[in-house]
Amino acid sequence: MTIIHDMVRENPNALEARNMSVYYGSFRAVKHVNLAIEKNRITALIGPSGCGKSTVLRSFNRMNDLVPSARVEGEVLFHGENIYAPEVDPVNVRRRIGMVFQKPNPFPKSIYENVAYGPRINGWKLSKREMDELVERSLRGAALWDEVKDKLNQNGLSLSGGQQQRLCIARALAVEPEVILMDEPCSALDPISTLKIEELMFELRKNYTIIIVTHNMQQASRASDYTAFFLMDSDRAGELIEYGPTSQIFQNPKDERTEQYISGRFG
Amino acid sequence: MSTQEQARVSIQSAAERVDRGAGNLRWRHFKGRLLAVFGWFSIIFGLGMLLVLILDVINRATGIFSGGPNWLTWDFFNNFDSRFAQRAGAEAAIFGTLYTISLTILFSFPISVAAAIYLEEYASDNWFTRLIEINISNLAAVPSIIYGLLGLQVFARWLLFGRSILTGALTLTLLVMPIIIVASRESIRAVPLSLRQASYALGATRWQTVWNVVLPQSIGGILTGSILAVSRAIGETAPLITIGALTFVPFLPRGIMDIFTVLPIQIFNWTSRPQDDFRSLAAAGILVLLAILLTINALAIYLRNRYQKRY
Repeated sequence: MTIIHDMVRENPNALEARNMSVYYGSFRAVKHVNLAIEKNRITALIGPSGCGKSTVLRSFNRMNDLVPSARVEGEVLFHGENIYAPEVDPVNVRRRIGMVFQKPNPFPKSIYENVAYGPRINGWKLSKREMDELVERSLRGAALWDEVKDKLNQNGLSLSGGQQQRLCIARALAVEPEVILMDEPCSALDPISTLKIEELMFELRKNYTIIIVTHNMQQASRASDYTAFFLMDSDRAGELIEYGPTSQIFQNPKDERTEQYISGRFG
Repeated sequence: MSTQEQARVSIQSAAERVDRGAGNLRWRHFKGRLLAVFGWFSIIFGLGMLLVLILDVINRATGIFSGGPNWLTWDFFNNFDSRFAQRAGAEAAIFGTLYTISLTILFSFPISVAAAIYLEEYASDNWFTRLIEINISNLAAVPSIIYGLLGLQVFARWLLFGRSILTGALTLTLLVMPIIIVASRESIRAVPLSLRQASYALGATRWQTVWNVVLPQSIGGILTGSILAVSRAIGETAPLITIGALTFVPFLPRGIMDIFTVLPIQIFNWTSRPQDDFRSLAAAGILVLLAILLTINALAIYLRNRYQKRY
């Protein structure tokens, strides 16, 4: 009885944007986005170039703070707490909401050090053995362990593009985040590497919440549970047009513009 | 562009397609070769001149080609200056140069790199930081004697450091700081944004990102710029004459508050003597100065390579 009660009470959303608008200087890049991201699901953000989907993604872990002119209005709730509240430290947000970027960007350090970087800078007091275990666990989590276990001291840049991207995922996993944001993680990869990352995403879904920005309609349709479609309005501000289960968005969209976009009539 | 417009353009160009040829391909290749030949001669000219200069100085100092007397002897390193060429040496000047340049590196490197980090990674982009940037670039081009006058007034007189090694080192620090700052900033700016983002996205603070990602990536360029700056400082004469570094110093400096001289001043002084022997002494001094310079550069290059490999 209490178990059911707890399950009902537990917040099913990992992240929730409430009336969020993002500005770059006086330019409004994204307006009034309301978006609830469900836990342990893959949510895809799609839309044509410049529609603000990457901006939305970067607002979820305050990476936009690094752009001097960027400003966010509205709320982004994480565990019921607004991550843009004045008392919240963005550094802490970014540890709990990790990110994987468009181009693989491993540090020019060894594979081991790439993964160990996050735990180190976060001041985790780990013994050599604990760190070894964490590195192995993270690399296994990113389906890279078998390929690199014999060359952990080699430079991360010596790996192939797809391996580098999985190294970046392993690096993100090492700080044990709850949410992983992926900004077009496969756009620089070949189809086989892309497939590996997609398979990996399904594995990761068990333990993490994933939000992925993608330009690839097939990827969104086959690799996500929910899809959010964004479009620019007449002021070039991005807005959320439609959001729902991926099957519904792709097979039975409610909005005409969504239907036009996913069927390839523009964008 | 609408689809209709696109279609019209493509139809027209398809109908008008003609082979326009490779144009003046021979001329274009010729221009490329011309530049290569010009570049080759430029290098030969530059290196040749340098070679002639160095060989002449070596010959002057050691008499190795002309069979003259060798001035680069043990005595040269162990004697102080004298008005008799046979007894004159550069001991005071060599130690003066070593002390001064070490202090200059000690002062200028950390301050300049810190300033560059602040300007690139911390300062917001407003009129004030832009003003500072313009001024730093201009300072790098200010004639060195101006720094000498500044050093004389501020360090020697106001701060009562007198004609000491400290005054000299601080003056040279002012002289080289703009050069190191400009070079460091260029190098820091060249670090890919994607690496910074990767660090921030893992929960690194700004300082952790600077220390662990930005600096290791840019240290090569920073050290290269610092080599150039120190090379300039080691050969400076004007500002040190201005602050009153002496030629005739018949003792080793006992501390940083002692009066001193440096090799360029000693060389300058010897070359202006009427006796020919002093010009050979000057040549010996030039060789020692070059050796010190090359040693410092080699050390910086070694540090750079070592650090980059470890990273």
